[in-house]
Amino acid sequence: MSNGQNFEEKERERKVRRKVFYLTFATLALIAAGFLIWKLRGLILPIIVGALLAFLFRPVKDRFNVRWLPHELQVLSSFVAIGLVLFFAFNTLRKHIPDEEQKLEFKVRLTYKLNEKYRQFVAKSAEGKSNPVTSLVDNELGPLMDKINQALKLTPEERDLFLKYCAGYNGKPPIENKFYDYFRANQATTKYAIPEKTSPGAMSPTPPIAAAQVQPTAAEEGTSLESKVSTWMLAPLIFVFLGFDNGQIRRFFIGLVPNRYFELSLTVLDRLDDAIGRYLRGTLMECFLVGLSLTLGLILLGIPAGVAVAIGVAAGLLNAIPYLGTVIALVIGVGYGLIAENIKSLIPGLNPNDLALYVLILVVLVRVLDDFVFQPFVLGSAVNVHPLVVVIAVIGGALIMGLWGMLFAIPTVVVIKTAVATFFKELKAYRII
Amino acid sequence: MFERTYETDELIFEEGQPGAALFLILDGKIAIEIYRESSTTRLAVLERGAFFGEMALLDETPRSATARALERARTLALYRNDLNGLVYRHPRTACRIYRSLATMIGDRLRSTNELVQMKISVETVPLE
Repeated sequence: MSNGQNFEEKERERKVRRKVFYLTFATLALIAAGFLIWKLRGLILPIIVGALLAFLFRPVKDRFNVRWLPHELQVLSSFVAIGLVLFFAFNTLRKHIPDEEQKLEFKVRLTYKLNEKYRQFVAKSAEGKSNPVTSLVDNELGPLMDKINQALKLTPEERDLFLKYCAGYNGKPPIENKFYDYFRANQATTKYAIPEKTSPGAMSPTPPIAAAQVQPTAAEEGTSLESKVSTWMLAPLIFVFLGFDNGQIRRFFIGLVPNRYFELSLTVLDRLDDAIGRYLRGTLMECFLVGLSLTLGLILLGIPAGVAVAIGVAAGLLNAIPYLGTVIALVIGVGYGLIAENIKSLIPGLNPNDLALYVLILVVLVRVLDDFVFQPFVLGSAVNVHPLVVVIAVIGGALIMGLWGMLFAIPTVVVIKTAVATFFKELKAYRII
Repeated sequence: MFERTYETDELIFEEGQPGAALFLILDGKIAIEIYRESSTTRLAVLERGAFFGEMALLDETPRSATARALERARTLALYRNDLNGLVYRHPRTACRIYRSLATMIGDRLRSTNELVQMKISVETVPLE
């Protein structure tokens, strides 16, 4: 055998060895990665949240991209800018957050108004002599109202504090007499549910020991909260590290890619980046439209502009988590609708006493508008996902991971769809498959 | 910029593939070739300091030739979208790169024109 043939043979053997080595190494790495991901699955969500925040932060960082300024200073300047904006936003928002006195007043007014509406409803249903309605009121709504009253009931400390505020306390003027009357009426409210007839010796359905077993102890709750807090500390850390990254992470991962797939991986990463960017912009636009629709609707219903904007902003921002924005808008809007007085609607013919019902209808309308117009056409077009897929993904996400599943359902679909489509297209274009 | 190392005879890119990056040679020799059914035409052999694949920076048309390492070569790759980003972040640097590209493409067009003219003049020599 000549030297040349010997060399070729050795090279061929070396290639086979190299392939076996790479394959074994890749398999072991995959198993190890799978094991780690499974064991550390609690960290995945904070990491994703931190990474998404860093992604959103990137345009701000780009604004501070000045040639003569070192990269670290550019990032620090953008952090300071964001911090200042958040500080002012929080400060402005804080002024609209009700203080202790307003919270107590809100509770008293809400309890009074809810009971007033309930009593009006009971009176109407009794007049109608409709047996099914009367039985529904007695069997279902009565206990429900009792539960609401129990939830809104002032604690002894809160009662004392409310009475102090009624007389003027902590440098604040006395609360209106009307609300004191509401407070007295609330105190006099009795239970609506008809007590069930029970045998004298009947026991509680749940033995106290069993209940104690189900209830976590305060120490357990504290530990769980502590671990959650420490896990979520990762999100800002990831955000800061990714914020300071100047392409090193991308370079590192591209460096691992074999030469054959180098340009392909650059293209796929770029398309993914673009798709996530379009999704985030689409979501922002959707949130803005939901917030705007709610604000305009509430103003038309006669709710003061400041309150309408506050509800619209809260619901719009939380709309990034599908359905949560609606729930928030419903709770705050209907709550406000129940306690609001002297409301003058801009739409003629509306009964101000039914404001809560109108708010409910408005929130449902905005929800329908979001589901059938904003989400499919604003978000759907931004990420090129069929509206039906958007709806199925949100429901599927909710079934798999609850609230977080709903939040990350569409981004996951976008990433998978873009990655698969680009990957196959480019693999064919590069004649790899 | 991404540093890539290619072994002897390894292909950097092939004719017809979509191009996404320009390559600057740090070390080694790179051959630019065109493969046809029965023959291979070597267009150029590039060495340290030269760059190739520049058309990928301008559009997404497929590579017009194949680049192959004649010996172990180290290159720096500049991705098209990174250059696009550079236009906003460092316009002066981006301008210099585009200017070099324009000059090089102009030079190549001039040589191609000369070649075409030479060919035309050879073909139109009157038969005696």
